[in-house]
Amino acid sequence: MRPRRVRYASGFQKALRDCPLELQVQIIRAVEQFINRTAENSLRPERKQGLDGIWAFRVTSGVRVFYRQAKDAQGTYSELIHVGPHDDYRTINRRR
Amino acid sequence: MLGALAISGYVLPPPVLTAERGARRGIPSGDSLARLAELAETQARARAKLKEQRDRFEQLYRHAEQPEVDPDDLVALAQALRTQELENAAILLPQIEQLRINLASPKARVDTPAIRSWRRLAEESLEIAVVWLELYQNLQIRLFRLASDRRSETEPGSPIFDDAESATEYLRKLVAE
Repeated sequence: MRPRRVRYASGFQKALRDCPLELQVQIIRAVEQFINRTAENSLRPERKQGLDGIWAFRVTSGVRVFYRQAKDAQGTYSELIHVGPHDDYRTINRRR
Repeated sequence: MLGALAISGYVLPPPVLTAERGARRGIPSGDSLARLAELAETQARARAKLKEQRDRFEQLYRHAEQPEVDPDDLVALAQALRTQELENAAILLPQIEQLRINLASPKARVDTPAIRSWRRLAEESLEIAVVWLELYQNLQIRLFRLASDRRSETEPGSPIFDDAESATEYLRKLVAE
């Protein structure tokens, strides 16, 4: 399958630098899987409800990378804009 | 500097859910129309509060959009909202838990008009609680997006990568700097 094309916005780069080292390693690993589409079930890329054009994928159960889709002459790419803590209250709601 | 102080005028205390009342007083029995009316009233207040909170967050976002607000301030604002979100979650999640226990109990499955009405209220209550917390999350994400866009005006992001190897190598170098 064709890998995803990605670009890192400066907001994502700053947020990544501000993360603890161990989490940085997990984030980079998740980005690699996102590009290669090798772990879609654990990354669970999804469009965020109520947010215009923002998508997210999971790094851990409580950390998400947020991105949006953009286009250039070669086609679509994902622009990563932030990484940080995020709880899924709908899952918590279903799980409990 | 924006932050906790800036959001204080824009946040409401979390709504009282029918969940809490259900936990305290149990699932209504067949002759409890007055009780159901009271729960419906509580629900209507919670719904109105949800709308009010959504409107206030829109006002806060419009304030944050002003050109003089710099990216670091936007991030500080989002972080203050995260703190507030967790405080709200600490109040609402136990109520969600209790409501789910009530909904799963055998009594809640009895098919009477009163229980059916109660179930509808309880399920809507769950939705209100979740949406309440998501309002906080969505505003944070919008602020992070805005901060990233503002930052891009002076700090360009990366090139576009077509493969994982060069994309992850870029990140490894970035965090090692």
